Amino acid sequence: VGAVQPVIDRDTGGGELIWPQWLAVNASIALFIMALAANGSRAGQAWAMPVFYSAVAFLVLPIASRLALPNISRAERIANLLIAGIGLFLLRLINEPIIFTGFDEYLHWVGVRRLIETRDIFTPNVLFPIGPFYPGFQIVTSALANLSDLDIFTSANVFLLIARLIFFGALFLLYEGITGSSRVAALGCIFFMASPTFVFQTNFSYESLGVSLLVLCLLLDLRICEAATRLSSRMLMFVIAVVALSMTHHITSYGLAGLLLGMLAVEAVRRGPKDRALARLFATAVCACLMPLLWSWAMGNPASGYLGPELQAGAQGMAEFVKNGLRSERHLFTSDDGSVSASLWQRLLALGSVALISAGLALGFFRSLSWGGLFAQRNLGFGAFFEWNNTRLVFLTLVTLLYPVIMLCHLTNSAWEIGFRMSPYPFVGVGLVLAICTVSLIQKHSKNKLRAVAVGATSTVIVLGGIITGNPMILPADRYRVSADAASIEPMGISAALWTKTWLGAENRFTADRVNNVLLAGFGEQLISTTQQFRLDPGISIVSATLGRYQLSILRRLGIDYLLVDLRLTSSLPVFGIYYTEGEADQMLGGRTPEPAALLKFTSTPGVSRIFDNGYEEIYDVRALSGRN
Amino acid sequence: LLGALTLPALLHQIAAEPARAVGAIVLVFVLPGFLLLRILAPQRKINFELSLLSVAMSVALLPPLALVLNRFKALSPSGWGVGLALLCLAAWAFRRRDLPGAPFEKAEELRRPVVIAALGLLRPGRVIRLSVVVLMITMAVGIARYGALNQRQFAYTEFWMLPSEKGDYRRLQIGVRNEEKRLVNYDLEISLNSRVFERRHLILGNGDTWLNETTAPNDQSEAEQVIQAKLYRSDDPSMLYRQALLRFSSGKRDHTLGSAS
Repeated sequence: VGAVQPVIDRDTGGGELIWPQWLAVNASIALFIMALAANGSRAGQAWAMPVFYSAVAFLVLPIASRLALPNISRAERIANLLIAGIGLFLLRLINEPIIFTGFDEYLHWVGVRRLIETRDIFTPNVLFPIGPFYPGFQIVTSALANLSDLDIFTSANVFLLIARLIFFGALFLLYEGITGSSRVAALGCIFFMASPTFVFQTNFSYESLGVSLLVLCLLLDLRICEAATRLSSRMLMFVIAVVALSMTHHITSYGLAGLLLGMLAVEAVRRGPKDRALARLFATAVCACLMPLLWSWAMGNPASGYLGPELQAGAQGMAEFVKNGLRSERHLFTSDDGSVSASLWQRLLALGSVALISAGLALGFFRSLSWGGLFAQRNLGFGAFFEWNNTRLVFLTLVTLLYPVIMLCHLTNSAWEIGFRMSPYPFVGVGLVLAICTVSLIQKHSKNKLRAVAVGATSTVIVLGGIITGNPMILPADRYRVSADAASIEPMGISAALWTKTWLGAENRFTADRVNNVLLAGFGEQLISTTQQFRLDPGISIVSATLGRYQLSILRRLGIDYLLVDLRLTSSLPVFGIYYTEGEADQMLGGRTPEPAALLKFTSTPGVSRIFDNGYEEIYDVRALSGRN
Repeated sequence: LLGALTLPALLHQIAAEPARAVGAIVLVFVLPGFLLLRILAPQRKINFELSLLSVAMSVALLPPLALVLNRFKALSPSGWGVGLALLCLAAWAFRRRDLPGAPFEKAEELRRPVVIAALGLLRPGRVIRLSVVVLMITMAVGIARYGALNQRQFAYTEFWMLPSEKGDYRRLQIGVRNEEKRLVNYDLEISLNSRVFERRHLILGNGDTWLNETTAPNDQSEAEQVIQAKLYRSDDPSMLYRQALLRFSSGKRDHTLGSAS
C-alpha cells in the first residue's frame, strides 16, 4: 500500500456560498418528486418506487460530488452536508405527514402522553415496559410539548430534526478533529448514510437521540484529550452528555463505553499502560462505563431482562449459522410471509452497496492506518506495528472489521436484529475509512469534475443501497397488510380506536392483536394487556377455537374489559412474522392463519356483548367473564 | 439570560401558536446550552462548533433537569419554565463567581457577523432561491398530507350499541356511521330475546353519523336476556350487514354496563 500522507485541504474561506443555495433548491425539487412518488405508492403505482429512489439520487449525487472536490471551503462543506442531512430527514415528513406510522413510534408516543398526563417520568408503559427506565427521549419531547402547546406529533418532528442536526454536526466535527480534513469529514458523513439504521434513526424512538448523543460524547472526548486549557469545563460537559445518554438508551450507552474502552486499549498499546497521557482517555472511558451501569442499577437493571434473551438468541443463531455451513436461513429481500419482496433493481442496488463498501474498506483500511501514522517508517519490523500517532483513527479503522460481522448477522433469522441495531458503531469507522479511501486514492488533489461526479455516483449507490438494506418498504403502502406495522395502520383501524375513547372512555383494559394494541393505546388511550405485562398471553383467548377454562382464567387474571377482534388477520400470514406478541397465541397458530370461526366465537358466548362492528373489526365486552363487573 | 428568565412567563401569555412554539424551541433547545457554553468557554467566538454544542448541551441538560423536577412533582409547563430559567440563572451566577475576570466578547464582535449575515440574506438572488426552497418543501409536505388524508382502502359502516345509562340495561344507545364513500340506505332491526321491538329505515350520506336512544321492553322470560341490533343494507336486504348484541342476566342488574359514557 505504501505510506499515505494525510491530505489537508486549504480552507478557501466562507465566500458567497452560492453552491449550497443551488444545492438546496435541487434538494427541495428532489423532495417534491419524492412526495409525488409517495402519493403514487399510496395509489399502488409501479413507477413510484424507481421514481422515489431516483429523487433520492438526485438529492445525494450533486452534494456528494461537490464534497469530493478539494478546493471548496469548510463553510460550504458544512452547509452542503446539512442540506443532505435535512433533505433526507424530510423524507420522514413525506412518509408520515399526519400521524406516526412506525410500530416503535406508537410505543414512545404513548410513553410521552402518559408522561405529560401523570407528570412522572417513571410512569409504567405496558406496551413498552423498558421505556420508562430510559426516559431521556420522552423527557425532551414532553418538555417541548409542555412549553409550546404543540401536539406530540409536531413536537416529535421538531425534536427529531434537531437531533439529526446534532448528529451530523457532531460527526463532522469528530471526523474533522480526527483527520484534520473537512473534506474527509464531510464525505465520511455522506458515507455514514449507508448505515442500515440511518433512516430508522429518524423514527420517533429513543435510538434516534441515543446515536446523536453517542457522537456528541465522542466529540467531547476528543476535545478533552486535545485540550490545553479548561479541561474541567470540558469534562463537565462530557459528564452531562453521558448522563443524558445513560438516561436515553441502553445499547447506545454501552456502545459508547465499548468504543472508549477500545480506544483506551489501543492508546495503552501505543504508549504503555503506565503513561500519564492516558489519564484523560481513562477518565472518559471510566465515566462512560460507570454512568450506564449506575443508571441501570438505580433502575433495577431492566435492560438485562430485555436484551438478554435477544442477545442469547442472536448468539445461538450465529453459532447455528456457522455450524450449518453458511447456508442462509433467512430469505433476504423478502418479508416473513413471502408476500412482499424487493424488486431486482433494489436487490442489485443493495448488493452493489455492500460490494462497494467492502471494496472501499479493502482499499482504504491500510491507507487509513497509514494516515494515522502506522507503517510510517520504512523499516517494517515488529515494532512498527505499535507506532502510530493518531489513536482514534487507528481504532475507528479497526472497528470497521465489525462490518462483515453485522452483514453476516443479516443472513440469520435470530441475529439480524442484533446486526441491524449494532450497525451504527462500525459505520462510525466505515464512513471515515471510505472517505479516506476516496480522498487519498480516487479524487486526491484533482479538481477534475468528472472524477468528482464518479465519486458522487459511487457514494449515491452506497447510500441508496444502505437505505434499501435498512428498510425496503420505505414508501407508504398502497393497501392494508396483516401485521406489517406501518402498512397495517390505516384510517378504519384508527377510527375504531378513537371510537373506544369516545364511547367507552379512556383507560379500559383492552387486548387485541399487535397492531391494534398500539392503536388502542395511542388513539384510544386504553390500557393494554400484553404478554409483556404478566407473561400471560391474552391473545390465546382470541385465537383458540373454544373459550375453555384456561382461556377464561387468563381473561380473569388480567382483568380484561374488552377485546378487539380483527377479522382481517384471517386473510393472510403476518408480514413481520407475528400476529400478537410472540407468546402462546403465535406459537399455537404455528405459521397458520387464525380460523374465522375461532375469532367469531365470542358472538355466541354467554355473558359476552358485541358492542361494536365495522365489518372487519369487532369489539366485545367481556367484563362478565373476567369478573370486572 | 434575560430571555431565559422572561420566556417561561411570556410563553403562557403568547396567544399565537407559531410565536409560542418558536419561543419554546429557543428556551428548550438553545438557551440552556448556550449559557452553559458561555460559562465554560467564555472567550470563544460564536462559530459552528459553539452553535452546535449550544443546542446539543441544551438537549443533554434536559434529562438531568427532569430528574430534579420529577423529584418535586414539577413536570408541568410552568415547572419546566421555572426549571429552565433557574438553570440559566445558576449558570450565570456560577460564571460570575468562577470567572470574574473573564469578559464576554464585545457586543460588536458578536453582533457584526449576525448583521452581515442578515443583510446578506436580503440579496435578491438569495431571497429568490430561498423562496423556491421554502415553496417546494411546503408543496412537497402539502402533497404528502393530501395523499395521506385521502388514502382510504376500506369502505365500511361502523355500527354500535351500548347501554345509554349506567345501571339501566333497557335504555340503549345505538349508532351508525357511514364511511362507505357513498350514500347508503340501511334497515335497522332491534329485538329482545328474538322478538323484534323496533325497526328503522336510515339514509346516510358518506361521513354521516346517526345516533338514537331507545328503550327495550321489559321481558323476564329468559335467564339471559339478549338485545340484538341488526343492520341491513337496503340494496341487499337478505344479508345481515352488521350486528351488535348485549347480553345480561335478568335476575340481577346488567353485567355489561359500567363505564359507558
